[in-house]
Amino acid sequence: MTKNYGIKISRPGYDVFTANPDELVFSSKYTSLRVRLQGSGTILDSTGRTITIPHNLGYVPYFLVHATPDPTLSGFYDTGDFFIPPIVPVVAGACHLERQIYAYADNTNLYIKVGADLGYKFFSTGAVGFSPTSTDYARSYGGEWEGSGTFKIGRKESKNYEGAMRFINVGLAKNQGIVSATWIINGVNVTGNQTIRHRLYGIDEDNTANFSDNPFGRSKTTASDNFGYTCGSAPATINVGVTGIVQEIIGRNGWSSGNAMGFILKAEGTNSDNNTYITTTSGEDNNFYCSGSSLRILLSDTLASYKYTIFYNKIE
Amino acid sequence: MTDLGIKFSKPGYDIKTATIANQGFNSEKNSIKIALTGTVTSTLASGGGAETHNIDHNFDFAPGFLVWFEIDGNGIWYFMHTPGVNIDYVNCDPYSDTTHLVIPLVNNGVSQHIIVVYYAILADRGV
Repeated sequence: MTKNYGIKISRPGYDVFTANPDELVFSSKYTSLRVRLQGSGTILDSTGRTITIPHNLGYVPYFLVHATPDPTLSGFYDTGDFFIPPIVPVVAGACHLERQIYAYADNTNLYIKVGADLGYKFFSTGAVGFSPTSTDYARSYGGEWEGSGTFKIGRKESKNYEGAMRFINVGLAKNQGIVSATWIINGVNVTGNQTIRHRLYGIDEDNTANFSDNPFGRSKTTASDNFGYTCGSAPATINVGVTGIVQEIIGRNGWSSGNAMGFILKAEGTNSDNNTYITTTSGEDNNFYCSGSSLRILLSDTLASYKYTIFYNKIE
Repeated sequence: MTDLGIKFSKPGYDIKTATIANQGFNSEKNSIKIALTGTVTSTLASGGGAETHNIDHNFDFAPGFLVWFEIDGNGIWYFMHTPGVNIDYVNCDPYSDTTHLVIPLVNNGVSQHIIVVYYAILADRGV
């Protein structure tokens, strides 16, 4: 017969014979949390958005994680504070973005993960709705204007079209340090299967005006890059690296936070030097229409700090 | 009442000088005690399928608790409630009162899910 022996230790000021369970600091009747492993660290964009911590227990253990939220958000969050994940910020107008931090475990590892969009600032053209057209933010020209405020690049009816896009209210301070900048172009229609090649520039102005006039004649940044997009059967999202161009624009003497900046895809050069549209069939249409666009800036390689405790206790 | 107590230090530390952080136990400081553990399972339809589990704890206070949950038997356990889009919008937002640990589960995702919740009710007040 099992004897009902045990040990109880009461909190200071409480009689161990009469103390309630919450007045005991220890009771052999109850299981204690036993710590297997503790640690801390930071999650960097450059080294991956998932931290994997082996626990070598062979079963799923209890765990607790504390982490700092998205460093680009302000207001409710204080980036010096540690919250228990999942941390799922509510960002007005950006509910589709994955800015959360969460943790989970299996019988091998503890994982701490940040969402794909955490740490990024996004800026828009100001366009609203699906496939909008406005000279406020987009223009395309190929010997004649493509619509009014339409963004299209490539070849159509034997004409090579260049595209320009403008972003408003860009909240970057003058000479602000950035890790990366990406111009995200959301495709709505694509024709052909060949590669569109352009030269990518920024518009070298402090606060570039809307495109009611011809934006292709405006001063261009020194920073530039090759651009290539291979057309296909389905429209896609094109991510264009514009880090150097953005750094040059926000480094201008007259730049200030909230100004507008623009990018141009120029069809310059010849068909043999990768600086212009290439097609092997004269007159063949290969082009790409855009339904919307955003400018994505990563301000810091450090995305979050975390602290974790893995216990011997088993989830079963 | 005599002010007696017990404290243990971690290996490598002198109990007479060890700080609280280097003590494994100190009867002056409360330790978390797990009173009750168990699992509950729900099969929830997509688009808002919901079920709430009430677990008696037999304390006269609202106890603290720990909850982890698994979806569709994939061997991955999340803490407390959902990270949202990564697991198809399953919500698990537990709370306790003076009689129950309450575990509401909602599946706002696009697929049916089987959700297993593991809970540990503490013999300590939640607040």
